[in-house]
Amino acid sequence: MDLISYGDSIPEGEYKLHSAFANALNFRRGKMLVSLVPPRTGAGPLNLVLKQLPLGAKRLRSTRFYFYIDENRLRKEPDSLYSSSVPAEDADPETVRENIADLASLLVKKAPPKSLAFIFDPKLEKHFTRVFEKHLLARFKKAVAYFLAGNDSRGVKTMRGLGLGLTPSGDDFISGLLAGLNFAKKCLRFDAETRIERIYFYAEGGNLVSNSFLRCSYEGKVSAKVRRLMKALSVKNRKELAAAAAAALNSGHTSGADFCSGLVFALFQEFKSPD
Amino acid sequence: MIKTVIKKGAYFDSVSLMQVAKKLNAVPGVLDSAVVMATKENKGIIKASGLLTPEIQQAGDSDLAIAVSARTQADLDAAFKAADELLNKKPAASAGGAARKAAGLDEAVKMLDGANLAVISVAGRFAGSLAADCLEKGLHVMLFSDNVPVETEVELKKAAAKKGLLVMGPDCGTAIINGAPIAFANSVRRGNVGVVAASGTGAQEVTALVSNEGAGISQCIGTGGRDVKAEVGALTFIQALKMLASDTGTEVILLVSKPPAPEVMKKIAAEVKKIKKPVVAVLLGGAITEKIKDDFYPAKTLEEAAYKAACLGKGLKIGKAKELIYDMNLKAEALAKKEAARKKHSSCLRGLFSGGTFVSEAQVILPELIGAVKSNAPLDKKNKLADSMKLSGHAVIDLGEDEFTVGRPHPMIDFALRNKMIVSEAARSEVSVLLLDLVLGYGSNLKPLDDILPPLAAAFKRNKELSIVVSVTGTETDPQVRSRVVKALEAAGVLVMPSNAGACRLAGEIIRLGNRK
Repeated sequence: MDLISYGDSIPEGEYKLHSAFANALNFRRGKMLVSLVPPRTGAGPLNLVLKQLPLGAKRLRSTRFYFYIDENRLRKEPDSLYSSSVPAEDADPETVRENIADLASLLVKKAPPKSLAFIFDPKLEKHFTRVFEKHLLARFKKAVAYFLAGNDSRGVKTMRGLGLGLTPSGDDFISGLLAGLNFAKKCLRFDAETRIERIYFYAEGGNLVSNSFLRCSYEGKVSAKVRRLMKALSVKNRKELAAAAAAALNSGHTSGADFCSGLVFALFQEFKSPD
Repeated sequence: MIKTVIKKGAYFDSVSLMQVAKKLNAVPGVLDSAVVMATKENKGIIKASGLLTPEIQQAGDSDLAIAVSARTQADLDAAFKAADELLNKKPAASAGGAARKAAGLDEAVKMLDGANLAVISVAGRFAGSLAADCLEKGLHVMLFSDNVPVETEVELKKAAAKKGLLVMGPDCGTAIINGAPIAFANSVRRGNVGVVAASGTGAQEVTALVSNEGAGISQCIGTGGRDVKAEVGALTFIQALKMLASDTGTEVILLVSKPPAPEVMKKIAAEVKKIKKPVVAVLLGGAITEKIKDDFYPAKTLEEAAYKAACLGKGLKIGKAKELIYDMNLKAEALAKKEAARKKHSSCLRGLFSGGTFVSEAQVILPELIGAVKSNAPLDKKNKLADSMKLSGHAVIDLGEDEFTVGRPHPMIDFALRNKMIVSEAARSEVSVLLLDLVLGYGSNLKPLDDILPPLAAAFKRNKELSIVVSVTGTETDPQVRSRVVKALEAAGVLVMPSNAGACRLAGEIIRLGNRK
């Protein structure tokens, strides 16, 4: 069992198996969820990336220098530590503005059906066909309208816990919003702190997995795929932007697209903000 | 007609949930459906859609709610049957992982009634006690783990011998037991050649060559490289020899190792003398001077040993092996002349190997053709490279050495580092020939071409006069299919040889002829 990387936000302590999927084993300690994932999922603030997933693993323990997965001990090599902070390099606002417009177009083209990418192109609404899905769409649109009107608290309350997937689409979108605002704060030096606090205040629900992602985004901690995307947003390199977007979209079914939609939406709003 | 099912505290990944939703919507007669986590917000939508039931109302955020509205009861039943099939499907095993899970050794033994061999691949510190537990349960042990203390190794092997069990390893990466390839091994024909190998890549090369030559393997028992050192005294090597000597399915025995410690060699030789079956031995880099017995056949290379064993296995005269090698040499010489003729300059050879034994074999063959060859794993200490990352002169590198594998997978699986070196070495003006190995089979990279062809193309682009010689170790029944790999490599302009020894001779010959101009 080889440890390829480990996130910088995994507290020491004993964790118990919470849920097991083909591509992730989630371990829980209180409200904290740590995931064992294979290399294709990639590094994250709460991820242990292993060359091979130990499918039968039941226990995880994190100590100062080691992880213990059942009877296996894995050393926390300093070189394998993944620093999950949103990149802090100053970015040129004009470049970012152009790149987020490109990213929105990419989302429209590449996002799977029934994701929140419809907010950038109403044509994508056609994928919501059943009665249930149409109601869902109407609710999403209502939430987006609240955000556009500057009523973040109503927007979050309407959006959270809403939609398809293990982490409902609405939660992924809010995670993306928070990550986008942290990017705006750190790389563009926009004053986004108040919005971050306001959104997170109402964001958490009863879904442990969603809450874990929301907390990370709130703290400005993102996965390696999102970090790569943020770096690509800061430079003039369309090829890299497309590659980074493709990688970020490749998470869950619509999760990647919902998260990116939130991120782009937040940045669009920040650029439009009169401040 | 509406039916709902709540899966309490059941977690399914989003992709599975989407598949279920899609499948439900495709069932004829289904009017509407929802497959969502029962959050307060989703319940609101379910209610607005007319799908809300008391069960959903009571469900919590961590519960999965499936609600279906359909024309008839039969349609509902069909829909839930489809949903159940998808949700109850066992998760696919990750690459190389087992689909069946066991919490510990006891459960694993119970789950697989009749198993008599345990493969152990845990951190070295824990491997010893786990191996002891396995021996207690009457299981033979293959210890894939390394970093097991030598005292533990000796203890385990002595304990196993008392019980008539075998401990292969530590650091044993290859075995073929009763036709089953274990860990890094090839899919070979079954036959009458039994192999004892203290070298993983060596075992793969000889078993694949024997099989490709039309003979077959009865058993291939790995011992781990340290077994033939003085501290361990060839405990497993000798035990395996005895087993093959008494195995009715084995008629020829083939021994593969780097040179054992002198006192260990004496012990092995004494055991070989007792065996009433022909024995072929290759001890790379070490000559066997003693005529141990009449039907003892020493070999200088893995290829020679494999061909000799294959000939004996097929009931042919041993001289046929030399003919096979001679024919191959003729082809290699013709190819070398052609390659050397198209070069304006020819100077250095660089060998980038994933198999350590191939590095030793290269150092046995190449000096006769091109003089001294430096290495990070030299047979002679005076040929030690000062810096493994800065190659100079003729050099062969073992990329499986610890200095290259810390924090990354073995180069047989992950080609990344070697791919970088292929391109960077090709760009050096003094490099004329790149010599590589490509090991196929179980455990190795399943899509080697996807990984290796791009850097090879880049290498040719950077150095128009470059020759790239590759040996492909494997068989037609390997998951990667040897002939497909060979064909693609040849189409890319690579010179492919059936054995590492053959590749070394061709690469050396190209340099020799080129430098003579």
